[in-house]
Amino acid sequence: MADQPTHHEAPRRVRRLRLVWSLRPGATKSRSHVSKALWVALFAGVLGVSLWQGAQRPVPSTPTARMEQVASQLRCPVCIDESAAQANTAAARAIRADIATRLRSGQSERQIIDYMVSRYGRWILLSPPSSGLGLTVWLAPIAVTLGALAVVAVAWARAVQRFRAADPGPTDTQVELNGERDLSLADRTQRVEEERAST
Amino acid sequence: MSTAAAPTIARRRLRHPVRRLTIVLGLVVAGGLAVMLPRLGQNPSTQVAADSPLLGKPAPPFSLREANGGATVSSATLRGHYSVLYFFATWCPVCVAEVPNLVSFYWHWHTRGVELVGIGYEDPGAAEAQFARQDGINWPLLVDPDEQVALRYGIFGIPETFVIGPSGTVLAKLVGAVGTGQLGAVVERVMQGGTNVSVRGGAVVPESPGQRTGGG
Repeated sequence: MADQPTHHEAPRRVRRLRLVWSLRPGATKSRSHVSKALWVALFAGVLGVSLWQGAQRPVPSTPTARMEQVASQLRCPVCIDESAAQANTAAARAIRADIATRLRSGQSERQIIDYMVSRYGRWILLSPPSSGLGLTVWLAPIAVTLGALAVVAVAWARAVQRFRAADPGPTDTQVELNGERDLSLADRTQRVEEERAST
Repeated sequence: MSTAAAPTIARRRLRHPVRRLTIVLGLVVAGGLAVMLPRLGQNPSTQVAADSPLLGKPAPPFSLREANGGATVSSATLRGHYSVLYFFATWCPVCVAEVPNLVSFYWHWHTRGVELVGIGYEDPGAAEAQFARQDGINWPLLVDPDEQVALRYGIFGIPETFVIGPSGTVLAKLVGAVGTGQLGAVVERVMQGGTNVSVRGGAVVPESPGQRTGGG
């Protein structure tokens, strides 16, 4: 039992390791870089997972669901901004019936959509194609989002710069000691003395 | 003093990279909205309908029965002639008003070997048969059950008209009313070698009155 660490010992050991790590030369600057890298990695991870999930489409299990999935990618030719899957018009019904027949005959989703484009033109596609001029429609929101993030990042960096110029703030050691409230008085005094001796 | 300094401060603020980037982004977004917003909620323009991808391609095949219970007319029987496929409906006011124009077109061009065929859109055969009894309608009016032939021809509304060459190639498409002489002018043009002719005659009627109220 004596060898087992108590609940008090483990956190204290972790705090001491953190303190040692933070006291190395150039600690504050380096930690700030690590923090930035972590945020960027987190953002990139969330963005990547979101894009991947957005690209995934559930595989429909029934023929009707398959037909509806294809029809949902096409416009109803005689409607205002309605898909061929939703609309209850003769034209939409004709498209749905044709899709069902083509699926039964073994045609793929791509072949059916290409067929519809060959009859109505690219207008029939509810989503713009991800090539040619249609690609700009997909890339524009990403570009605007990245631009907006750049604006926020630059503004933030400048605000931090201005704040630091106005108030240099406490020394690195003081910052660390403020964060280590459970250190003994002797430890704190020793650390301050070490700092004074080095300066 | 303050009046002299004001423009300088404003100019300095504009030179700030963050503000510049914000202004550029704002202009890009505003430009995109200005282009996209007027298009929202619009029907397909007649230009989209007129620029059919079928122009210059083989005409989709069909085989349909006449509304009055007569013979079957197919794309194969029209081979060797210039033929005009007129997609119409008996409930379409534009189509009804155009009957005199079509009668005069038929009498003028049928003697020169041009075939005219009417294909009903979302129309019961009985209504078409009654429509066919009008004086002067001597061309076949065909019933398109389930609008499958209309789908093959990529119909956005009615009336829409296709001119097919003797070899079975789609040479021209007219969207909307054919008018008094427009269809004849188009046929003359394709007979002189014109291809990929697309004409916007006017607005098309998208659906029957029943569908327009009950659609969606």
